[in-house]
Amino acid sequence: MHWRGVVGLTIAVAASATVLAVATRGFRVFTTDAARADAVRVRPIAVPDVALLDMHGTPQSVAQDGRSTIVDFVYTRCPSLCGTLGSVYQRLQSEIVRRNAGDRVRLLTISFDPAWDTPERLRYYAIAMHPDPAIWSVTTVANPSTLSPLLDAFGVRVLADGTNGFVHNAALHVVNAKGQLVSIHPLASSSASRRDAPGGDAVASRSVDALDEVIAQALDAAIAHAPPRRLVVQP
Amino acid sequence: MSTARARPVSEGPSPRVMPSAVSAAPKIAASLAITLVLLVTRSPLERWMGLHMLVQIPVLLALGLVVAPRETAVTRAVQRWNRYGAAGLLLAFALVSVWMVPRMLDAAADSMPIDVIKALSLVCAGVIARVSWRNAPTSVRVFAVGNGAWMTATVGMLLLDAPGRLCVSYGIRDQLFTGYGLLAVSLLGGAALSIDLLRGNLTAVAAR
Repeated sequence: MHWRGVVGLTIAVAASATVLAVATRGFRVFTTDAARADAVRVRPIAVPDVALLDMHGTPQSVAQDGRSTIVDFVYTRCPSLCGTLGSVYQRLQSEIVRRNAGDRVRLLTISFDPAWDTPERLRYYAIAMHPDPAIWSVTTVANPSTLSPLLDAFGVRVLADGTNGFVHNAALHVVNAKGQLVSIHPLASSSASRRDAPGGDAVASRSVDALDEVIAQALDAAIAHAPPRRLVVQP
Repeated sequence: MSTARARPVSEGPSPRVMPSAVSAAPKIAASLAITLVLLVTRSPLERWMGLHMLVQIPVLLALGLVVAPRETAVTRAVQRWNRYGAAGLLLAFALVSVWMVPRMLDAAADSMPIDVIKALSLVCAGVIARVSWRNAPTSVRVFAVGNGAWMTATVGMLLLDAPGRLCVSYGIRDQLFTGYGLLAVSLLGGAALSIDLLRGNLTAVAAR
């Protein structure tokens, strides 16, 4: 009997499975985005209460007026991914209106390029996007030094792309009225970021259904995390 | 997976006079120094996915293969728990696979402590693989080489096939380059090791 060999192999199998399970959170998540979404779902994290400025120079906060907030990060010069995010937000806005949820959910776009995206340039972005001011605020940070902790809290990574633009991950982040990040909905395929690659357009067109699903999930989560609607008794 | 020479299984313990710990000292010192250099230069090496996965990780693994101890009474005692080298090779595969997971690559590029763990685990994987290889019969070696090549190729194809970026630290072009690189490594490495294996085995047959 080679019992030592059997015991050794058993230990190796157990150790290998354990190591791989830890690395993939139980064989479920393989990317940083997915791991973060998974972690936040289990334990919400408080995001820093950073001063924001909207396109009129009015101060804004990540969480305000008792509503849930869906947050995204863009830079307005962005040729690809942010365009997708913009159209996602337009669909979110019309869906919020359709569901009559404007008193419970708001949309917040934050530019991570405050040097370029001054309130004036944010206005140009708004001209293209038609945000309803009661629902959707287009902002950037008031103080550039607060940007990095804000991006860290949301798990957004911005890399210089070498051609004066940025590469960044994109997701819909749901923040509750208390300023806690409660769920992250990665825009799975980051479809537009693939356009520069061979076959990229095929990927982009395939992912429309996936986008609809992400939009619905984010809005459902935002509504679920909003405080209960006050009943107004009609006389 | 390695440049480990396929020593004939039937050769038996080598008749070395010099205590192996003394003879191995310069090799271990050199490897430690290289590991330190790799950790100090981690920032440029990990700025590109290609350098991270196709240079830094293989070098760390190779260091482990180089510093692996010769056959001694201690390794022989350990080998009784590592019959046919199967347990060790499996563990080595798991340790390498962990650092093929995109979020672990991100984590290593982000954090020095995790990067140190990565370096140590890869050197360990190399040591374990070399020691186990010595103990493995041809069938297990063939399986290990095939599995290693298959695993590397699969990771490469996953990188190429992903709808977008998999690592938040790296861009899409970098990912595609690394994907093709891993495919090339799996083809060339698999072929080289197969030839090596075949030749070692033929030598063993000839010696018999």
